[in-house]
Amino acid sequence: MAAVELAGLTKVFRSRRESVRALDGLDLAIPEGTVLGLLGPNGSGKTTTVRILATLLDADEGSARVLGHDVAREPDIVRSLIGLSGQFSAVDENLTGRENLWMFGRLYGLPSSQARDRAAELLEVFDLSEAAERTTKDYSGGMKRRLDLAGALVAQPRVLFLDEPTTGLDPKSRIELWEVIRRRVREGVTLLLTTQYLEEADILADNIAVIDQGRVIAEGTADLLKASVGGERIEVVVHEADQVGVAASVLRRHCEDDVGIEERHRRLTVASSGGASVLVSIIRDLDAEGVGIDDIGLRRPTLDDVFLTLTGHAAERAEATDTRRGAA
Amino acid sequence: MTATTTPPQVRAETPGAKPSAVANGLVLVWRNLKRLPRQPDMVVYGTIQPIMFVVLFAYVFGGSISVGGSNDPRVYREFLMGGIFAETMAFAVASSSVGLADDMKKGLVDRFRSLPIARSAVITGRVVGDLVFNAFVLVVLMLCGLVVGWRIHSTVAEAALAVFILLLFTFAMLWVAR
Repeated sequence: MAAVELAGLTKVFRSRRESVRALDGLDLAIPEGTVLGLLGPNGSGKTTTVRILATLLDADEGSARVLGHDVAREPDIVRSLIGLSGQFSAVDENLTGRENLWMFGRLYGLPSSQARDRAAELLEVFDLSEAAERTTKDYSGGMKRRLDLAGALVAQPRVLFLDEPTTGLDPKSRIELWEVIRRRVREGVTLLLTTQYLEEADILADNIAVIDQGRVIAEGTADLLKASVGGERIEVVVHEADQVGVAASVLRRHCEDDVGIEERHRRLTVASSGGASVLVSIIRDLDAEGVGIDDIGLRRPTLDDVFLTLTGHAAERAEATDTRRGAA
Repeated sequence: MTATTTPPQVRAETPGAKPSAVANGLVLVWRNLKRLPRQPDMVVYGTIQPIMFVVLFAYVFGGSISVGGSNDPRVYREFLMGGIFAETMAFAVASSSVGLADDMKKGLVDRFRSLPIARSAVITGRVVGDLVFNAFVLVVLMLCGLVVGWRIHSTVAEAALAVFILLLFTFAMLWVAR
């Protein structure tokens, strides 16, 4: 039995002027103990999916089941099985870290003393022990996210929903949070992770479902998705604009496929299956022809390429991520 | 970060067990009261403003208002306090709604709603918490009234009944804020 099963899930948001089809017959299944990365641009339906699964929103059509329990018919059971950490750090800013976790424990139905023990334990695991007695108002963004995630884990849920858990975090905090998430997964939690960071899905997820306009447009492992866009490519940036032609003829000599040329950036790309050895001969030939090289490399398709190919529009955050990674 | 120890088996009650509205509500009342000393600005605003009204009407405008043909400011002050009590309790709606709106904006309400708790607890927690705060404001106001010349003329039981009715009114108004 799959831990999470969505079948034909449809949700239309209606306002007086227009109706927006947020989900349009979404089908998904997450086997128990695995991580599914739900990848999509803004407005593709990721958050709507999570909200329906967390019983915060009713679907118009279709069904959603968590560990066999229908979210619409048995919401109380579903709520006791899941943990949710949303896009915001939903912790009480006027309570300390310890008080927040104690409160969530009590609300999950733990007796007071057990809730206290569990809070202490989670504070330790999430490296928040030192800040435990401070109100979360004074926490950094990364600390709040960690506390938020800890709150979702208080009752050891078997299914965890994380809606863009690292959006807005600095690179260091993101990597720390990934580590924490990975540990939970090793303990056997089933995880649905939504993200617009392709790198995040690549690192954390067993399977990736790409959604756009409320439907799944591709599904599979990261490698499978990458392979679907094609193999390796060689990319060359030449030094002088008038050398582009010469460089193109060199590339044609070594590779069978068409050479893609971007005049403005003096960049040439070509598909290649020869790997590094072809790259070496190309460098040698370019050098022999007297072509100055600014940059050359063997490029494997990234999830960004997958995304672009599948959705036809860029992952809006991809660029921002790259800049940030550069800055770090 | 420390190495993860396998946590002991703490599972929330049996899945699907009926959550207790009272127990859940009390936890959320606790949360709403806990924040008061940590948001002193809110407490100060909530108590200073009605006191200012008392002083303003009793001393600044009071002299030129006659009640029942009497120009004695002491008569007006007795008359005034009843109005201030009711007004202050009615205005409790504003700060209460702001508090709830804030919880919604920060995603806290969503989080509570995703927990296996009684649906009523989120609202009960806030209403009861705010009611306790307003009872405190009422005490401050009554002390303030005693200072400017307002007196309880009836029996203790009748005064207690009046306070009860005022708090009942507050309770009703707090539900309007929802």
